[in-house]
Amino acid sequence: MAFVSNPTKDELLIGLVAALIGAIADWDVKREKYFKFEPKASWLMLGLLLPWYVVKGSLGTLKAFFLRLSGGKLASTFKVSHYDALASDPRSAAKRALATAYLTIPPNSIIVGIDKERGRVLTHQMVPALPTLIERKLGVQS
Amino acid sequence: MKAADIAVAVLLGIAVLTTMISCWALVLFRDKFQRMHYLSVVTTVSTFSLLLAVVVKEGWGQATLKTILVFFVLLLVNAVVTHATARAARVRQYGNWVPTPEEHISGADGDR
Amino acid sequence: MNLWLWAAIGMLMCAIPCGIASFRGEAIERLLGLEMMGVVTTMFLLVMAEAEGNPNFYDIGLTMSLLAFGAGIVFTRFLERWL
Repeated sequence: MAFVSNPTKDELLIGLVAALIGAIADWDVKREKYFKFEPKASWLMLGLLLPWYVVKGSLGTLKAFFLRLSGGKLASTFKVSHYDALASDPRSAAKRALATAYLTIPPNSIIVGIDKERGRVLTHQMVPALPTLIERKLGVQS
Repeated sequence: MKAADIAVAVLLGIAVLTTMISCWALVLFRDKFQRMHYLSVVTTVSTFSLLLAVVVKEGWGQATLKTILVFFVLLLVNAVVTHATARAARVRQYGNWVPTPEEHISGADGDR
Repeated sequence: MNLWLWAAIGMLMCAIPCGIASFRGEAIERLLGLEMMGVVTTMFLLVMAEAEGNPNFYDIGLTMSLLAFGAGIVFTRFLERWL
């Protein structure tokens, strides 16, 4: 309804039916417990730091572009770090999901995977950087 | 030209320029993992500049609301797709994404 | 011609390097060209909404962003496991 911006009776009825279908589907998925996700509020608040890392990462990545253009050598590399949230409970799953999202959104780093068996996380960095506050708070240990 | 028009011109310029740089980076770079980083530049810097340009032009209305939604969708979606693509690239290259000792990756100094 | 139309032309020009990337290299490298083009198309549609003064393009842009995600994930899954 917010996007159609045309609250006639027909639109309202269709919106109601669509919302009902969505609500039933949501209830059914949650009932089966397919997805476990119980993050701490402090982890979610780390998202507020993302703009800083996005700006920093973008500058580094754009600098790398011009370095490549001028024929310079790039220092992009894979990095393996230890990771502490390896259990299957909802809290650990949430920590892993947030770590993957928060560390892949900024342009400088990409989380390739978290190896639960060996307790390691593989990252690719465009410009090698020191561990960030987000990394430390979300379980990545250098 | 009014200040708002100048602001829109600058913001659109930033959006288009960063998008062009990121797209040409796909051609310029040889390593696929280096190319993947430029998807994030477009979905963060370019899209945010475009969002600001829409806010300056339209104010806080339907158009801005939809653009904000597109921005957040692209932000989250890109993180997932980039992560999945990086993983698939390593699986195709090495059979498994987990680093092997032969690669000599920094930090891979043995199991826990 | 207004500013937004020029920006739309600029976005459209980005299709050239994305196309080149999609025609060269191995499968994953070509997929990156496709994923980038999906994002660029979304932005192009948003810019066109302002350029033409047609708010329907915002909805199409939103749909495009979601579909590009779906396409990216499906291709990635296939390339990782079966192709």
